[in-house]
This record gives sequence, structure tokens and C-alpha cells, in this order.
Amino acid sequence: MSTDVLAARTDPRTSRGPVDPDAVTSTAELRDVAREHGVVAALTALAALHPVAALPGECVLLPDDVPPPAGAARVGVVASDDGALVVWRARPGAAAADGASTGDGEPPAADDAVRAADAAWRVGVAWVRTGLCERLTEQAVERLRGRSVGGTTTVNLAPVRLVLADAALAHLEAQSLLGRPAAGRAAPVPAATLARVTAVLDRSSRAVHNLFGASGYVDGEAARLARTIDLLGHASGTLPTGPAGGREEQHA
Amino acid sequence: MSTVDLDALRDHLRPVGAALRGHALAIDADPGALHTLLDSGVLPYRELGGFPPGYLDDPLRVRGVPVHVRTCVERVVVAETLAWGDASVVVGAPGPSMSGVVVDDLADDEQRDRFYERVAQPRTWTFFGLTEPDRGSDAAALETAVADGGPDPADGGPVGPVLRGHKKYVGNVARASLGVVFARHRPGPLGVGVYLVDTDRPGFDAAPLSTTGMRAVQLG
Repeated sequence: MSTDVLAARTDPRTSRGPVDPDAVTSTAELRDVAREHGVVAALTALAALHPVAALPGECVLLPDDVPPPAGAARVGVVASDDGALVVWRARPGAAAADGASTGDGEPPAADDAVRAADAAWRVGVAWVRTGLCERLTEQAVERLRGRSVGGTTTVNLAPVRLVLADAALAHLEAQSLLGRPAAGRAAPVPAATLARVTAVLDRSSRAVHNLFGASGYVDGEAARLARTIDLLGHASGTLPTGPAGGREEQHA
Repeated sequence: MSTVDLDALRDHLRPVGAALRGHALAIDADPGALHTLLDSGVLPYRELGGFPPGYLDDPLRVRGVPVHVRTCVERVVVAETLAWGDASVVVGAPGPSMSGVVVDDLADDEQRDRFYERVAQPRTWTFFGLTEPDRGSDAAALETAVADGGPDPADGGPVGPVLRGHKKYVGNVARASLGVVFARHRPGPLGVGVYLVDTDRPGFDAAPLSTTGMRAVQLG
């Protein structure tokens, strides 16, 4: 029996799967959208599912055509592998959630509703990151399938297969931790669990990124995707620490 | 066994790592800002470069003990401590770098002295030319080769051996003064040699690639 990873596959960068990014009804589906269509489609679908939200001083990354939270300041633009993402920072000292303005130009102070919106957004981003990590892994497999070392196809080298196996486990662990929420509504996710998902995906994406070798540093699809995964984790991977955040008992 | 107190070496370098961190974002935004860091004098890159004794006026001293950063464990401690501040500067700093290790192991006395005399000059970068396009991890399959240059068009005399090939993903190559090139001199896995190359030789051309990380390395 051969266990070589040589089966022909479609190019994940150009294939379009059965998931329609315009018809997403649950947070978990964002993973499929991210894997098959990329970060722009996935964050756009997330914004259609949940209000864009950020606690005071926190950042969110959004496609150019998704409106930022009220009062947010534009920080910069990041080139992802399939389009630009704008980085927004919620005004310090004022909670921001789409549609949560008081109407007098001043966003309301952070309250439970705003924190819940912020947490729901972060859980959605975690699903997006899970799909993006799978997308990066598929790209790595595609690349290494076409390369060889000493006559052996690189993707079949034992150290490479170990990284890929660990990545697959990490993706499953992230899905397991995030759960499969009911359509259109995120299930409660403890802050520590969200942090765990972020850590698992961070380790996985960085290990897979290493499979690209030096080419992974060159400004291109893989490098931009890896950086996008990293930045989304920085911005939304954990609940902010503070009086109401980052505790084990807090739920996202 | 090292006679250097590695904990003391680490403690000695922690402030340097902190200084690198202070410059890291500026260098990532503009790799040319590496010169600002070098101008500041906070990075003793020559003392940390791994020169053999005799090539620097004053080596690094840790608690009064000279440290030449010549052993593997010393190099690891230096790289690890400074990488906390900015890993790209650790790789992108001037000095012998990986070429020095090859020169130590393979060069004759004349080559070794020529290499280190040159690299000991301030802000002299070296490069390590191994990786080739589409051959990144398959060094034994490299295609760069040493060939007979044939007759010189100018006078018909022999040109001598000529290196022909392409390398990719080589750190510091566009600003390096010299470095080592791995090239094939005969077929087979054992037919690969290492050649010391000055970058001002005719035909040498290099340009940095656009990268998203480790930008001080100026990968080319």
C-alpha cells in the first residue's frame, strides 16, 4: 500500500467550492468560505452575520467595502493574498460596535451588549483563521508536491509529513474547541478556549509557513496569507485583558 | 567545552537585544534604516561576527574575558539573545556570517586570510550562495557549474574557469562584497565545490527581492 501524498487535487487558490459566501448562515461556515474563497470573502460574510465590533482601543481588520465600527480610526492597509484589508482601531475609551452609537456622535461606554458583540466577532474571526490555516496548508502541499529532495517528492519526506499531520490535528482541535454553533449564532466560547484556539492556529500556521522555506518570506500569496493569519490573531485572537476580559469564566 | 560564561554573555547582550527591538519596526518599514542602527553604535556587529583572533583590534569582552564568538554554542547564545530584539538584523548584519563557517572549514590559509581581512572592514557584508530557483532544499541537485570560459574575445587567450548559474533566496547578496558560491565541478553528488567570489567580478549581478518579513536580510 502506498501512502505517498501524490493524488491529484484542484488548485485551492483558484477552485471554488460549494460554499456560497453570500449565503452563509452560521459562524462555522466561515471556515469553509475562508478556505475556499479567502479572507476578503470570509470577513465580508462575517460582517453580514454579526455587527463589526471592537472594544475601546482594539483593532479590527476589514475588507475595504465593509464599514468600520463607529468612531474607529483608520490605522493602515494590509495586503492579504486576495485583496486589501483595512486596519481600524476603535477609539480609546469608547466602545464601538456597528449601529451601537448613541446618536450624538459619541459611542457608548463598553457594556455587556458591546462586549458580547466584540466577542461574537472574535469567535467569527477564529473560524475564519481556521479556514485560512487550512488554505495555507493546502498551498504548502501543492508547492511541495512539485519539488523533490534527493529524488524524493518533498511532500513525502517524513519531517514534512509530520508538520502536515500536526497541522491537520491543529485544525481539527480548533474546530472542536470552537464547536459547531447553531445557524447564525455563536455558542458561548470561554475566553481561555478562544485563547487556546488562537495559540493552536498560531503554532500551526507558523510551522506550515516554514514549509515554504525562504520563498515564504518573498512577497507573494503564501507570505501574505501567513501574515494575514498572524495579524488577525493579533487583532482578534483573544479577549482583551482587563476588569471584564480574559478570565476563564468570561464567555465569548 | 566552552570557557565562556554563557549566562554572562547572555546578560551582556540583553541590552543590545532591547536596542534592536527599538529599531525593529523602522527597519521592517524601510530596510535602509539598518544603517541608522549601525550608525547608532548599539550593535557591536564586528565583535559579534565570529572573527578569528587577530582580525579585530578589540574583541568582545564579557566580564573582562575576550569572547570571539567562534564556537557553536557562543553563536547560538548570541543569535538567540539578539533575535529577541530583531531576528532579521541578526541575519542581516555585516560580517562573516555563514560564509565564515565555510571558509573556516574549507579554505586554505591564503583564502582564509584574504576573506577575513576584507570582511573585517566596517560594514562589509558577505553572502552564502547555495539555494537555486526551484532547488531550494535539494542542494545535491544544484545546477550552477564551473566551466571553461574559452578564449578571451579581446586577445584570444584563455579566460580560465567561469562560474555560470543562478542563485535565489540569498541573504545580503545585493550589498555583499564577497561570499561563497556552491557550484558543480563534475557530475554526481560529490561533484559540488565551494568558491570564494568577489561581487565586483564581471558578470555578477544581484538584486533584493520584495519580502514581507525579515526585511533587514535583503534576501536576493
